[in-house]
Amino acid sequence: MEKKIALQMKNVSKRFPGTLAVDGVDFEVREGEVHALMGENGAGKSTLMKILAGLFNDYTGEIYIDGNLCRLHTPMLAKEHGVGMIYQELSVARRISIVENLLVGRLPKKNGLFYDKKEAIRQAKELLERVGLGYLDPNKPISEISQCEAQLVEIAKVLGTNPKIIVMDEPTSALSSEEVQRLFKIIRNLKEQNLAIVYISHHLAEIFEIADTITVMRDGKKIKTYPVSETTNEQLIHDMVGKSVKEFYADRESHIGETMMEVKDFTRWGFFHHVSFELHRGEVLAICGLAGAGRTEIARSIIGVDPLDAGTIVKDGREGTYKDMTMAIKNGIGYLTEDRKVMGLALTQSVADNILVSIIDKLSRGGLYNPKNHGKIVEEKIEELEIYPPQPNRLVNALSGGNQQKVLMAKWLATDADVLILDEPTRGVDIGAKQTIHKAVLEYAKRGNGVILLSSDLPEVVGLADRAIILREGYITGEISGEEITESSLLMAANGEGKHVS
Amino acid sequence: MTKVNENTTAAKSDSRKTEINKALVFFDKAGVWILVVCLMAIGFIINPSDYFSVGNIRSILQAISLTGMCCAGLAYIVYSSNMNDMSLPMTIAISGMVSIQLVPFGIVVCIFGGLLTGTLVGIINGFMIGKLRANPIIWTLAFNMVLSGIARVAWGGSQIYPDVVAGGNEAALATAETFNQLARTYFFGGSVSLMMVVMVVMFIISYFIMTHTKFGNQLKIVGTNYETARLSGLNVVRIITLSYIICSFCASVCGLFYASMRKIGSYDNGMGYDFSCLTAVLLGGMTLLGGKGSMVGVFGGVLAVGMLNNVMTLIGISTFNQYLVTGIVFLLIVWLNTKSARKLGRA
Ligand SMILES: Nc1ncnc2c1ncn2[C@@H]1O[C@H](COP(=O)(O)OP(=O)(O)OP(=O)(O)O)[C@@H](O)[C@H]1O
Ligand SMILES: [Mg+2]
Repeated sequence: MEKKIALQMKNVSKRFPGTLAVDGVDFEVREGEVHALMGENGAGKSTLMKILAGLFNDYTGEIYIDGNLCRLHTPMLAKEHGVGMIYQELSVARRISIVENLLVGRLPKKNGLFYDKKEAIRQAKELLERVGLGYLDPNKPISEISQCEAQLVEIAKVLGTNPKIIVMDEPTSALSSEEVQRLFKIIRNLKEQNLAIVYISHHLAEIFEIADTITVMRDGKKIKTYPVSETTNEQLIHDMVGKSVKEFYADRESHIGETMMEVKDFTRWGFFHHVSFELHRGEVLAICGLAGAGRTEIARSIIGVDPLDAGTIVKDGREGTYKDMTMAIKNGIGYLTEDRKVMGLALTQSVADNILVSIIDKLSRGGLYNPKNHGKIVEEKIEELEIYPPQPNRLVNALSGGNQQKVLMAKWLATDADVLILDEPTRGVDIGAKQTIHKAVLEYAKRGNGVILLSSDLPEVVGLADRAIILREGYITGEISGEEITESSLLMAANGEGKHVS
Repeated sequence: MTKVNENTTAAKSDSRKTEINKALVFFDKAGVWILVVCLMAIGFIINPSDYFSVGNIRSILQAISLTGMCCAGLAYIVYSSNMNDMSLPMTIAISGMVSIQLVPFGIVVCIFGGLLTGTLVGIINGFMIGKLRANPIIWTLAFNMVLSGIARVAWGGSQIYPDVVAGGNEAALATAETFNQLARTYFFGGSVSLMMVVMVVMFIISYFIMTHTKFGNQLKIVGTNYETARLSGLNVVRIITLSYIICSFCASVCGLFYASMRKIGSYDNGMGYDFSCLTAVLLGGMTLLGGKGSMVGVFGGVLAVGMLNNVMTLIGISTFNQYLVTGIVFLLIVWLNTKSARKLGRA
């Protein structure tokens, strides 16, 4: 028996000044179905889903939910119609507690007036149970839990509104592989409860694992819809990109030179202990480990924004630590943050401003500096990273998620740092863009620079890294190099098994 | 057939919406200047005979020059997303008092003493907020109280007058006279005052700093996203400190002219400037979130506030009611500001 259609969008369009982001799309989702929405960066996936979530009051076309025509002109209306949205960029407010966050806008009241704390905690616990977070204390502030947990809290929050349709816009871009499995378990569970789920992701493997149906979008238009069983990897890529993409990772020929940087006995108690490694010229060194292994913490301590209890960095004949990012950059170290929205980009400024921000110091002459004089650098970077649309004056928050990530990458490539620490450099970018970024990274290394790669994307590590050190619970437990870096060897080592663990 | 029809109507209404968006964008950019033109029109309708007379235009410009000087500095604070400098009133007051106190030492010492006092306030604010990350509103509010306490103790709670401070000394009396003339110096047969010139020059310099210097461009990123700025290697402490120093310096320039105009150094010089200046700056298109707006807009904001007051005076609204109107304008602006902030936060 065919399942009931939960959501039907007919000929839906949405225009931004200068862009037709969604162009006459028909889209259907059935109950108890996981429907994957695929497409390149800027294809219009997020925009289509934002229409559904009631963020725009100027879309055209018709949306039917359970067969009724709805006008989803405000987020409130969308919620009332049972649309729950988990945004691409986490919308979890940072400093408030989990319980307030989960029940925002509908905190339980006592005697119709006072906030009923007990009841709130009970409801919060119940919601957390549903996403397998029963062990969390709902009174903790969000800033103290991990990104994965925050993502799951976000799902719990949406579940609390009793939705019929749940949209997840790249929910796994911040998760490690076992966290993804955790999420999938929850998704399967929701599916059994007959919810309709729209799932956006750039990871093909995930799609083939979890989705029932796939819709492909390109340039704002719907290209095709088919059941997962009727398609293949190649077919899907072909439909998304509009041409076949063959080789995924460029052939890697590395020229490893002398040691350029040495991290000695780095320790921050409780986070990482006695971490030492060397980085050579022309080398891409991956630091691998499960989420929570302490990768980001090490990076943040290297550049001096987080405290450090012991250890030094030797670079360019100087031994010591850096007291802040300014000093780190002066010493030739750049750090691409994992969270582009909160600490990577100035979203409400232009692409040009964002690309130039770290080199204002260098470009200024006697305190004078005019961004207009440096348009060439910006254009070069836009071209190198294929940022689309290629407009230096466009505000960054008017770019699709993947293109924002490219701007972030461009900003660090524009500095002349000779060591770049890349924390999840391809979060949320499509296959083509990933190749562009990878090419840029390899090109950068080839010029004799060093790259420290922190990535949860195993194929990425396998494709890029010359050497991988394994971090487990804050300790270095092994090292894998060259040809021996494979997805399975990395996974095993990260879990403390296999021959690469010392 | 009907299907085709539907499609074309859909397309039509779609393009119409886009145009509305364009109009919005235009309004966003030119907003305050539209307001200025409207107020001009209203003023002309109310008083067609001499609204555009030299006398009225001069009185508008004269009235805005003091606020203007302050706004040229406060803009940096708002732009850096530290919202407001609540210590503006006492910075104005105390720099005026110090310079009057220094009248016996000659006009140069007197002016520099006043400016230095203001700058010192800025350094302290900058250190507390830039370096120690004190809450900008709470700190400047508290510091305003402290300054007013210091002033009361130092001058025994009384006002001071340039000629009284000068005493019987001939030279000092001449200096006092020069000081009092600061706010009464006119060029071009009385049509342009020194105050106006100073204000306009301050705006031009501020415009240049904001757009053509390293500091201004870095401040933009700091104001938009502090964390991003810090992790991009900007020296956020220095940038914020500098913006407070500039702000207080501008306030002390205003303080000098204020004292000279009233011929009095007093605690209530500059009273209410914290909010009236913020109103003008926000009206000029800067937002409480920081990183948005320009000096050109802020100048428009100052002009608009001045013209609003002028129109109210022309209509004959009493001073107290004028406070009410400005207060309501302020609330309206803050409301609009938070509304757009919420939009930015989500979409
Ligand atoms: N606020 C905006 N103003 C103008 N244009 C926008 C705005 N938001 C998105 N766009 C444009 O609309 C198009 C679709 O963007 P959308 O965010 O839907 O892409 P996406 O498919 O989600 O991509 P990604 O995989 O990178 O997240 C892009 O070309 C983008 O530049
Ligand atoms: Mg998207």
